[in-house]
Amino acid sequence: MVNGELSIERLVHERSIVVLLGVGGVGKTSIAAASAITAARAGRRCCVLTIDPARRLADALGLTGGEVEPVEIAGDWPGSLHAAVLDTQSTFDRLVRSYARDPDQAETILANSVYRGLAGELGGTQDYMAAERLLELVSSGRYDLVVVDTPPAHEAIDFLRGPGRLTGFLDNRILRALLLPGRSPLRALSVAGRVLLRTIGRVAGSEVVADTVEFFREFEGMEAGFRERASEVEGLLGSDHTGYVLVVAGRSSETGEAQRLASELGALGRRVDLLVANRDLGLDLDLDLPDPVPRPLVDLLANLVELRGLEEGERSIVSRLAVALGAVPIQRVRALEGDVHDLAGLARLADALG
Amino acid sequence: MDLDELCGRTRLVLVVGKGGVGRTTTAATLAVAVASSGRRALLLALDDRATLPALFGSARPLDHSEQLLYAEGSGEVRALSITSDAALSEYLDRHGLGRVARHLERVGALEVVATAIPGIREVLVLGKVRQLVDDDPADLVILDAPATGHALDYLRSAAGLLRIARSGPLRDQAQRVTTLLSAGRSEILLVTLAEETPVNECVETAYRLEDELDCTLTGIVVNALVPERAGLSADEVEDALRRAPCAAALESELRRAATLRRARAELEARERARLRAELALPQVGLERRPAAELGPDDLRALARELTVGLATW
Repeated sequence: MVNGELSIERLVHERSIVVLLGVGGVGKTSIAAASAITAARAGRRCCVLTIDPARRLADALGLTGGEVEPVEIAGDWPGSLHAAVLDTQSTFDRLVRSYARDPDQAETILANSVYRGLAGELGGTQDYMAAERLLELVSSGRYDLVVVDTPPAHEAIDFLRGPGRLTGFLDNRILRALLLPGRSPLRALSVAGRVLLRTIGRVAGSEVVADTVEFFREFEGMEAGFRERASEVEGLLGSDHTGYVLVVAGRSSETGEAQRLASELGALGRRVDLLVANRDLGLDLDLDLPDPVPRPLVDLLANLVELRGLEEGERSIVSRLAVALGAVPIQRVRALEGDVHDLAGLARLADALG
Repeated sequence: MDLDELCGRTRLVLVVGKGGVGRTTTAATLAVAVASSGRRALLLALDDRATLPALFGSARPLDHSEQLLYAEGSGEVRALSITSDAALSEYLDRHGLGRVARHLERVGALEVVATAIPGIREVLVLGKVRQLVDDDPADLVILDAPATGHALDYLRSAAGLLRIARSGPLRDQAQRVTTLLSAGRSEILLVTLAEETPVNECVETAYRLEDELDCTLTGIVVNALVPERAGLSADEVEDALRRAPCAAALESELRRAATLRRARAELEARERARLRAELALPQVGLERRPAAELGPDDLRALARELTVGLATW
């Protein structure tokens, strides 16, 4: 059922990238994979990038772990379907190696404690690495569509912010003063740089200062490469060819997260394009109920009334969310019996998305 | 385990769980349970300053000064929030950056320090938590942790900082934070839903906490359970419809609703059993509240359920 023209099916037809957002456990990964199937059925070459698939789903997709290249999933569709899992550990290190001027510089940086902290912050929570991997897949030219399954909501904010944080960090005036000591045209900034380093030494010891100076010095040559990369990723995330789908289950705890996601998207000049309500029970809320209640049906009707109450509550949360996010169209997906954890289940879910 | 026992043996409970499982609601519920037993609870929020007060019917977001959210007899719930930028800024001021920093782009300076000393923000925030645990008159401090990924960053930050900062006041801070989180001073309450992915994530979180920290996992709160109902087995449904036939659309809807209820009950039973098999931790289940947006009445009802459930631990 689609309220307003837009649906997953249309998005996967029209866009080059579709990003799925939402809190954990709402069925995002299944919807991402099923959306990719929908695209393959429409004749497109599609790749789904999953962040953290449940084990059985990973098995169903043929992802046993550790694959660097996307894995092809065979199926009865005119297009093609590949699946890739994000490997956070190595991606950032790979970037450092590719931008370093020589292996020695790479190793110095990789061993540096400030780098490890920075990589931990930018890469350890999967945020920036998902965006990086996306860029790799899109640049390969092998796919018409990349579907991105993001980490759970709070971390998805980091996914959207990641590249901007990196460029913001690189643009930091204080950092620039530290990177180019003595060459700064503004003496005040050099003084500031020295004061900062002194404070850092005072609170954390002189080894940290040494590591900090070493990091900034070594990183100097690589900065341009990283900046360009981050800027490309931001371009992708901000493009009209990228669609954003927020998957919700209709719980009140999702509302705050959804608002935060929306404002992050706003900062990229984008918005939520489609809201998918994934736990719809499919009850007919307009169906008249008998009054008075026939004796034998007391339990059955009480049950129905309770479930209707839950359904109404969920739908009202979703509707209010759609309005708050800017009159976003809603697509309700009927809850399937049981979790989806094999290809047949994904195919059924893909049917429900049409 | 009753609340007297909990308040007697620990000063801080950290409520940990993935996004969307009702972590904040659980923290609030525990606080109300403490208040209902005549004691004072202090709720701490980190990133999210608005959700907690909203649960108590207050429109005022939290800030660094305590806000009274609930009172019952001699018991009460107060709350405040701690932001990492404020903690870092205050700390650097105290350590000599203040005067010069006023000439600088303030945010830029904080970013550079946070990058040079990874984990400093988190350790300073936990340092403030430790201060409250030591000084605040509350009987129990309850921390509404951020969603698990970030919560783990917080909990690991002290160990990371101890590796980097070989000397200096930060090292002392990090050591004190480690003491705070270790067994005896604080406990962790895990929160999940009885569904496949949340249970997987809860199990994984528990393993990681056990591996990486010397902490106590007290138990698990399983939220939003849809209770079983009598008279809804397949046979009972057909029997009822035979005795009181009705329009086809209604019959089909009644059958469907019964099937949904049974399926949900089976799912929840299965997932709770799996949770029990993987983690040797006591569980308490809380029923799903019918209201779409939760408020103080819901918290009171949940708190009663929680108190009864905890008594079985």
